[in-house]
Amino acid sequence: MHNSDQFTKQVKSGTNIQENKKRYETLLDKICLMAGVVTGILQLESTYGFLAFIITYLMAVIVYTLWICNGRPGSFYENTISDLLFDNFTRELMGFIMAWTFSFALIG
Amino acid sequence: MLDLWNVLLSGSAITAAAGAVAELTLDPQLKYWVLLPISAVMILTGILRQQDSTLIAPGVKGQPRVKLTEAQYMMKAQILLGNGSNINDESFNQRKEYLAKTLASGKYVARPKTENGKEAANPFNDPGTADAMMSMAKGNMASFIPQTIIMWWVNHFFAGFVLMKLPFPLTLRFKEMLQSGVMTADLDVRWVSAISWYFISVLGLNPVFNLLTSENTDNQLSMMQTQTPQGSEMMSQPAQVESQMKSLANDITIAQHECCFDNVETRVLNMYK
Repeated sequence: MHNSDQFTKQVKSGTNIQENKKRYETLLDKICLMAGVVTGILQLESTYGFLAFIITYLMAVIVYTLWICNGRPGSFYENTISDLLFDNFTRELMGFIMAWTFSFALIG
Repeated sequence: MLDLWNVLLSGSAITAAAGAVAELTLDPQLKYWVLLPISAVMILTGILRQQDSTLIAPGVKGQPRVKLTEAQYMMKAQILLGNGSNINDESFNQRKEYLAKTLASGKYVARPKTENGKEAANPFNDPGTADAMMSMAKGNMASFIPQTIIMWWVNHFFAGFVLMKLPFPLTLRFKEMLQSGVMTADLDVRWVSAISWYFISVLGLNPVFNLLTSENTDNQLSMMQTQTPQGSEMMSQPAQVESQMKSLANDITIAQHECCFDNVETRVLNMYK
């Protein structure tokens, strides 16, 4: 019996996936740095600041998935959840904390 | 600076007396003469380091023709194994027979020319390996030296006073690290010295560098992609390559072929059912 699964499976390009990841990372960098600066300008402290980060990050992921990926992130990424949600989390959190601390100290 | 010390000391005294978090008044000049210069130096050094790593990266080197032929024959076998299902049985069998014969005979193994049966060169004396190790060492140095210098600079010029207030609370364990040089036992951990801004910058500047030098990193990525196959080939020895070729020949001989055109009509019809 012919195994048709092998041929009906969707083929993905590794180079394009890398490029998609890079673009997503750059977009998140921009969003999280700006969110950090805004949080600092608003003089938000402790929990409110981290809450601002979590909300911004999740909003960015949701908007990216629904708007830019047209609700089908599986077509552009291999492991959707890890690629879109977890891979960049620490990096963006550090960037956010830096921008937040900087603008908080500068304005305050 | 003396005024600042007075403010600091009185602030800490108030904290100790009240036993609660007290607001210190910091000299606004600190922002312009400490916070901004450290930030600017960190960003500029990061950009310089990236440019520097591009400059000291080894250029693309030419390969002898025999090496390329060897690598390409192996790649051809791997591609046939991976994508063989896209051609029909006849074409596959033709390629399979030819590649199995050629690879098993070791016809295209690049053997270095040896004079009068002399032993082949020691792999550790190979200029390619030495170059790769040297460039790795240079890369490490290029990232390690600037960090050390900046840390020394911050510690030397900006030590001994509180620079800023962190917007989030920290545990007492951080006190020793983040308030180094500030001799106040009761000061809240949120008031930190210049070295902590250095640490925060080191951890958080990656997104900034990505935005500032995204073009460079793209180029580096594509350069790395083109160089990788050559680099891996450079390390291999003829004996290793020959055994790899033989195992590839075995793989090809026993490979089962399954053409993607078999039952293609049924699959297409299933897709649009």
